[in-house]
Amino acid sequence: MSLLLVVLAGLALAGAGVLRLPHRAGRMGPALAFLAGLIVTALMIRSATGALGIGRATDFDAIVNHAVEVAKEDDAPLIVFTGASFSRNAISEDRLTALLRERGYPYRVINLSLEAASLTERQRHLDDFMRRSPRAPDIVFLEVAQVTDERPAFIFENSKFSMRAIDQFDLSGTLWSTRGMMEGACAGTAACLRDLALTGIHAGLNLLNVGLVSQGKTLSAIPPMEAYDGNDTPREEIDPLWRADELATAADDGPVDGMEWARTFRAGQRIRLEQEGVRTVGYYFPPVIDADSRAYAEGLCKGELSAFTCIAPDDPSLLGPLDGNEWLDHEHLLDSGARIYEAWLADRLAASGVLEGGT
Amino acid sequence: MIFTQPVFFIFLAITFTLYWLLRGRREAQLAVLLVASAIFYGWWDWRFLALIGIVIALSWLSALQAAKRTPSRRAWLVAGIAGNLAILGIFKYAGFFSTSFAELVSALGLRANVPVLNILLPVGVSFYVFQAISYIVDTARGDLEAEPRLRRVALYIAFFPQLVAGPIVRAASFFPQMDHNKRLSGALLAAGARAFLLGFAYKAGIADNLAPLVDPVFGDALKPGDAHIAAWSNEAVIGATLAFAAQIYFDFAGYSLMAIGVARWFGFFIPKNFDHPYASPDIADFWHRWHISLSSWLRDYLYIPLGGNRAGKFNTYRNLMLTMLLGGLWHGAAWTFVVWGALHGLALAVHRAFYGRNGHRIGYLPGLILTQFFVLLAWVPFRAESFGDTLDVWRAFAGLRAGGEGVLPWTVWLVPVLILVDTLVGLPAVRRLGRMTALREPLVWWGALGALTAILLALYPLEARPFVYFQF
Repeated sequence: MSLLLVVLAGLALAGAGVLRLPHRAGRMGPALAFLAGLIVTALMIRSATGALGIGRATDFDAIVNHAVEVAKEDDAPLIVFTGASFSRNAISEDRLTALLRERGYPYRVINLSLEAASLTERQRHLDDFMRRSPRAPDIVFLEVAQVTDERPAFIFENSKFSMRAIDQFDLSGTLWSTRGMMEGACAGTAACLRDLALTGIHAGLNLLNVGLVSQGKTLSAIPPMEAYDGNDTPREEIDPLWRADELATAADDGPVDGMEWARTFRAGQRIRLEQEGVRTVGYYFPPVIDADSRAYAEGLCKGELSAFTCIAPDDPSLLGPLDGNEWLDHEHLLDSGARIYEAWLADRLAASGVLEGGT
Repeated sequence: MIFTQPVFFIFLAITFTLYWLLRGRREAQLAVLLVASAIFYGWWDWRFLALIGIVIALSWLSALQAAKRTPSRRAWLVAGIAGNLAILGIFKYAGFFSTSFAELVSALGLRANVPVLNILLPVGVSFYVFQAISYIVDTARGDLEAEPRLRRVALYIAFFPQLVAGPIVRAASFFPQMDHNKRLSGALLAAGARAFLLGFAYKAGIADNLAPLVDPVFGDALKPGDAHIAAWSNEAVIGATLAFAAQIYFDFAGYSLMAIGVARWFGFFIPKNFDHPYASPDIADFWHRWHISLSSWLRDYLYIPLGGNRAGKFNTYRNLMLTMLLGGLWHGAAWTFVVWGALHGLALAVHRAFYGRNGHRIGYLPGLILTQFFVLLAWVPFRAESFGDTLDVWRAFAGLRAGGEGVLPWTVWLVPVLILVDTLVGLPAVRRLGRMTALREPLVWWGALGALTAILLALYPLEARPFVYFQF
């Protein structure tokens, strides 16, 4: 229970307790007065919490706190991977760092990934990390996944009305998600309408600071947490025949351009990161069993992102060893699978030449 | 579905719109409320609907028969009361008594195969059973005409704003309101908004934010065996007790105010359930201000029928003790609640013995301190999971306990400030401030309401906690 909370609670108690009933009036005036009181006070609370450094505490903040600690450990050049759950289950910072160093590259790997993280949410936390890190990352790898490009409000599949979901729909998140949905980035008309409605509600909850004082924290009060989520036990039974069939299916759909909103976002993101001192921006996608999802990443690497370092997982030398009990579920790796991917990724990073500038 | 969950606001908006669209067609409006009440209650578990249906049917039939001047009217009265109490007994107390009997048998060194019953406790059963009983008794006494329309009895017992945690409404005040064809006015909206918002401030703004100070010490109320009192320092244990005293008040009074506000939006008036109880200078006054609808129910349907204060001192004390013991047991099926009731019964008897029926005589401030310290200590068995924990907490108050290392944030000591603010706004002088013309100017008033809403939304804990009194 923070002091701000006690003060606001006392104020609310006194205010609500003192109010008697109003004199009679029309409809429009009271409605506008109510809205004005609501919005002005919400903005004042936002300003006060901002000044006190209080924000919505989510796991992403804990991950950023950990990343900042790691960055402060030494002066090694930083290589940051940021994505959603695909990456959270696929990249152990310490192991990939060791693999790169075995290959002669002194990089320190940082994983900034969290389940259902939207493109804007990742960028906001990457900005936060860069603001607090002693140095800018040398390289930033951005996860590209069909689900986040084609479903910017994907978080509603995982959680609604949670601190995390509300946090995702700040002004930037709402504008980009809405733009995506207006272009059809949702699963059918009914889902589009639902996602739009939920986006509007969550944006309103964000604007009105719902839960911000009761559950908000200063960044320093959030315990650090490593992003990597290694698991040893599958949570889903996978048909081995289907798995073998999907993993053996090569992505041959040709070049792909992401939806316009995602392309525009990525272009702006690259410019911004380079302006902030990032030497190289690259793209990647961890392996999944579903061939279509892999094909999307492969297609982006050949199409929209062909001018950049882009590492898609459609490689038999990676997928062959993953045709076993290496899967947490059909789209996330177990720890054993992550080890296979990290070794392959280290080779691909080395082969791409992107690591050369930082040595 | 609870009043602070987003789904409730959607439910409320739909019900409100349908209800007022049907203005002028009273029976249709009441039908909307009845269907909404069924959805509201069935949201927890649809099987509960069968149980409340039985309570409604039983109460409607027995009241109808008990109101007739026939030889069987007494039998119908007894059947109605006994049937309702049987439902309460089976669903709330069967497990408790079977477990207690098994423990007693075991403590006596005997072996007996006593079945331990685990029956799902239907939400709000204690409230609507009491409401149903009051209806049957009132009609049998001739204080009220029996309602021939089942749907109206159903709405009286199941009216969703006060269905699951009261206030316990009397039929004599509710039934006439079903005939009033109200108009949706700004005054009605404002009155509802004011009560709801104040309740929201109590519940979501304060009570839910006090829970993180209470639960780590006393354990999560919904997870028995979760208490870790030994690990906490004496100061933390005292602070957590203080926080609980505030939590239970703001939680329950908040729920009651929200219920009053929601009912108001539908044109129904429900009397207040709390009146700044922590400002009471004596224990009798406390019970005139705390959970008023229950204490008046216990007075009218238990204490007075037992004889009240009409048969000598001893019987008065006995009746007070019995009423409070049963009042304690009403709160929960555990001996700790019985102890809480016994402590209050004893305090009321002592107060009666020393001061008679007329108020306090040791001065307001000494009376306030003495009374509220007693109330605070009495909350311990109410919240603690066991007698062992209760004694441990009392030892912390007496400084007779070594204590653990756990500490609570220093802000716990600001909890009394919140109670003080609540008490101050209840003072007539402060209330008069609210009547100032400037504050009642519609634009100022609605603007202030908007500002308060913004503050409360920022204080709203997203993980909505059930109301403490739901378990009763």
